[in-house]
Amino acid sequence: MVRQGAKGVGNGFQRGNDVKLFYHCYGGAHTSVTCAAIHLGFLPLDRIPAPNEFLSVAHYDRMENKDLGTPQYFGRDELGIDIYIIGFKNVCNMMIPTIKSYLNANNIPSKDVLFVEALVKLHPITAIGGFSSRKLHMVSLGHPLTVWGIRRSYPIFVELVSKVKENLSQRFPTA
Amino acid sequence: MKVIYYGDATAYAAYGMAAIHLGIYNENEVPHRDDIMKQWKSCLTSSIPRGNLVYMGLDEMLREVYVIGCGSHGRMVKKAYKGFGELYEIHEDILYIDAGPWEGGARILASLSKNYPLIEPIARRIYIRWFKRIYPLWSARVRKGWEMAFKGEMT
Repeated sequence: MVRQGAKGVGNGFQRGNDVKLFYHCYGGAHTSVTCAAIHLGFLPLDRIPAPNEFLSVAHYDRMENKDLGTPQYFGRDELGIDIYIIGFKNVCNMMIPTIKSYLNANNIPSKDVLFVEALVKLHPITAIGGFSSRKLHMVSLGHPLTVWGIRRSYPIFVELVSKVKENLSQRFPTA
Repeated sequence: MKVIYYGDATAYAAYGMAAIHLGIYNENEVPHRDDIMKQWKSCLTSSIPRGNLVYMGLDEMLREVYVIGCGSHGRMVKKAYKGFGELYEIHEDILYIDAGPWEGGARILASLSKNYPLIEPIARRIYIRWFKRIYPLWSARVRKGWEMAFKGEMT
């Protein structure tokens, strides 16, 4: 059965070849967005971006609490894999099997649904900034703190994304 | 259409309500003690881990009935299913029935028994009494779910 891609683009992918990758973190607003932006080339791999570069990244520090659990489309990479971001709070260990079992129940192969935890080595300042910005709605205070924390941990995100891309290119050479 | 009974853990109340829905348990009669004891053992062993959507069967209207244990994150599960449903073009209605309000007793007793195994025989007896008291409420909730399904209301 030929079906359309997630954004309605007639890509002609078979259902089984329609690979989607989800970067997930607590709130889906900072670390997952950073990883997805690095993955798609919106943020550089070779240097730590300037604070104002984060402002131009879509979805950065914008995910609302009501959207937790809902995947947000971010873009399509050079392998044709759709990249999404999603917030799972601190229950990703429960949510991932929940989603995979749901997809299995609908005959969608869960091997084509990839989840990557972007909450690696979260800088405490990012957490404080994220809490201020998303929970307390003190964006003017929280946003710079998240950027400061993300910039400190940036090489870790670059390393994570590089590993993910390497694995993807090995796993889906012709995706 | 899918009907999903969800709660903190599958074994506490969601399973019992799904069993009533499917006619495994008689709606008007408290199950046999052996069945209650099986459910108690499931509560203690957490045989079905949280986050697993478990297929229970087809009801008489050919709706698929599932149970899932998802802690207190039912709302996020619903949003995830809605989001992923749209993403993968799964055009199917889901009726969610929250078993959470009717599982408190089982949750407390199972938790106490797991932490203090010595009190398990007492907890088991209390569980049986609790089960007999809560069972009519489960039946009523399942009936209400049926009515909602007929009216086409999705929770």
